[in-house]
Amino acid sequence: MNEAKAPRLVVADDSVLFRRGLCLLLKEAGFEIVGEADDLDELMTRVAADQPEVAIVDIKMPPTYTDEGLRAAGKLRDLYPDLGVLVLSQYLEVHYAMRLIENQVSGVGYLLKDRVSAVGEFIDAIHRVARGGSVVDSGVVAELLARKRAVNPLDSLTSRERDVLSLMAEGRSNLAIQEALHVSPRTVETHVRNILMKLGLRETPDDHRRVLAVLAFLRS
Amino acid sequence: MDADGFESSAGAAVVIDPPHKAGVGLATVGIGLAGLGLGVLELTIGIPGADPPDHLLLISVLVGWAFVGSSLLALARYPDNSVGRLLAAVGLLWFVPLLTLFDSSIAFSLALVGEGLFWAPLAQLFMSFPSGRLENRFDRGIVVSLYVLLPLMNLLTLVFLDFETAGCGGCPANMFLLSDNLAAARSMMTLDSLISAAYAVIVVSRFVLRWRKASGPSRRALQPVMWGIVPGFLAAVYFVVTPVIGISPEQEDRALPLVALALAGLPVGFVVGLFRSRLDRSLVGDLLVELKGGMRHGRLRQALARALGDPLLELAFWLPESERYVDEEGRDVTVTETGLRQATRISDSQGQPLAVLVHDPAVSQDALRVEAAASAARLALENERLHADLRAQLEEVRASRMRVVNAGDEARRRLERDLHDGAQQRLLAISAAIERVRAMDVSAPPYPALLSEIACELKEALVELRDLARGIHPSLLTDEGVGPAVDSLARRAQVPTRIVQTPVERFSAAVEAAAYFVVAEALTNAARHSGASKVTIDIRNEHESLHVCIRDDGKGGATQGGGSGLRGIRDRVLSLGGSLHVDSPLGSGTVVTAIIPTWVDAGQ
Repeated sequence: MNEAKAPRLVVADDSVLFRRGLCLLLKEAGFEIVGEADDLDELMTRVAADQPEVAIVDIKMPPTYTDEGLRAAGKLRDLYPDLGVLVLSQYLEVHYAMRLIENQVSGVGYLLKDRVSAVGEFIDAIHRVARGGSVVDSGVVAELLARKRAVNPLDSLTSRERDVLSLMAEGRSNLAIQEALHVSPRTVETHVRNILMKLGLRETPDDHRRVLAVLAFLRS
Repeated sequence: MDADGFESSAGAAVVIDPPHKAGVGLATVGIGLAGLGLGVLELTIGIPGADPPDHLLLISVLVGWAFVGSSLLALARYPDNSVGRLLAAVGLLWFVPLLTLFDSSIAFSLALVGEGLFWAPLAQLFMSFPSGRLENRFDRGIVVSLYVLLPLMNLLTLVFLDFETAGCGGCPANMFLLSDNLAAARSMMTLDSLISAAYAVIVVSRFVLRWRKASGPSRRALQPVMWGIVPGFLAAVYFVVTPVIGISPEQEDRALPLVALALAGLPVGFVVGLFRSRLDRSLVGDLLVELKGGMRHGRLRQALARALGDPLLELAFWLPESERYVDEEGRDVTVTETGLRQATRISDSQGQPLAVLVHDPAVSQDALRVEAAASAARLALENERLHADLRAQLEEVRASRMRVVNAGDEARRRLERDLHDGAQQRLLAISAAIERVRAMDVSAPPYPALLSEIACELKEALVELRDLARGIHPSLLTDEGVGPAVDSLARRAQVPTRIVQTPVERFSAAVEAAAYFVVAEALTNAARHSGASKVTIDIRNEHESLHVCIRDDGKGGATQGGGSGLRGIRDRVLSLGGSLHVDSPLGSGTVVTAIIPTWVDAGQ
């Protein structure tokens, strides 16, 4: 796991019960919660006042309970380019994740709230968006990979390559993939190159672009 | 209501005049003879004292005859319309100066009082053409005041005018003379000219205004008069300008026939307009033939529009039981009347209100034609009303079905929200709490295993709850519309599913829900029963409808009946006035097609 200093957080969620639980959980995991909010306006105020490094934002909040979280991510990233935004959602929907990722250069993540029960994954996601990486929930990626296709280009991948593809889609860098699968950097590079070749995708040094390309491919 | 089954509408004055038959012929002949005689008299004797050149005399007579002749045509064809009578009045009053023939003070004085009086009926003609009725109080005021002012101004001039002082030695005495004051008389004449000019401007601009606003038959009627106004105006300018600038006799000889033609053209314009506003009655005959051949639904309005010469004619049926008007499709309509649209009510064979025609005011001038058309179409109208009534009732049923579906949808949305805000959040809070416990020092058995088990169960519960909520009502559909929601359905489908296209636009919640659930149900059927290996989804927004088509390559044989979920979907689609078809021949796959109108007001 990452050894960097724990980022300062603002947490926005209109469900007090869940927000309290989450804050306590994160505090006990060593994070500093500098502000809490239960709607969009409050979130903007807290971020401006408390200058966090990562904002954790519920996708649906007052006033409309539709896509405040996604819109907040856009606004916040425009105002504070270094701020990481992690959108939490109860919806396992590729559409929301894509809307978030597509509209940002990097530093945003879409995570199911269920991941509180996998604290490691949750904390890892916070660190990644803090560093300007992209995060896509593993459940969303799994749904993309599991799609029934008449002609499935994924059939040409080995099971190991599928694992690597999945981690790429979740927004992980080569280094993170290497750590997750306990393999050498050379092995990861080989896998990545083979996968991109088999899927007809171009190599790119930019991690975020790679995520976008892989997601777009899986979605089509 | 009169015996013919007609009734004038409450608001506007739709008076269907009984046609004048007796007496008309005699009056017409009288007017004709009088006009002819006065003209001949003027030509043979001339006007003593006035001493106009020959050609001016001829022009004067020609203009008078043009009006009288036009009035004869109008009276013969449309005796119930006052246009003919007004034309006659203009023509006869034109010859008033002939009174000066009598060497009598009374006749001579009256002739001067009545001089130019023909302007009043002419103005009335302009203001009331083609119906012969003045539209509003302003118009009536203008016309009435003109009838009063014209002789009054003449009289006020005469009061100061001694004919001898004015240079007419041989003239009979002025019976109205009070004071011999030529200067005062001149002032009165100037005032008279100014007032007349002002009235002329008002009358002509009122006419041009009506001409610009008019459409259909009214426009057809006003147009020829418009053509007549321009040369008439030029002729007037000629008479004003030539005495000032001077003109050689040769030029005058060339110009005067044109001037005569221009002035005589005006009454012709009125008559042509009158005839044009009242298209051939034989069109009603065409209607009869059309009706005899059987009238297809929806064609009656067009047929009546043709017969009455008003393409914009509207038709509304009165439903006595629900006491409202509906159109041919059974949709509620309100019958409104304006200056530009008039309503004529038609009764059924029992004398009860049947239908209303909303039409151009010009249509109702030809009472016989409207009556004939309505009588011819009465049976068809009654028949059509039954259809409209039926459609209105079906519409009621559809609306009530839609209310049921909407209420169901609303309940589903609320349930989804409640799950999201309630149970799901609590379970998530518990998840967080358990993770905190697990992070504490609870390594002694059996706690770690127990906590793991609880966490695992919770995770499952959350997944099940999420799927349940999505099945009840997908939040994605409400937030992002049909495209993303159907995309999500296709991705999770059990059979490989390809989307050809989905609309990017948003529609009413009811329409979107219908399209979504049609796709969901078709996908479920394809996965469960068909053994299909692939499915395609195509949703297009065309002709104000969503065309939803789901096609699989399975074994076919699906039906809408029985326990099929397609039945509930059908209700949903029908409630929006749409249609659902399942084409599923054995062995050739299944095609589910729904057409959902997008314009239906879902009442949300």
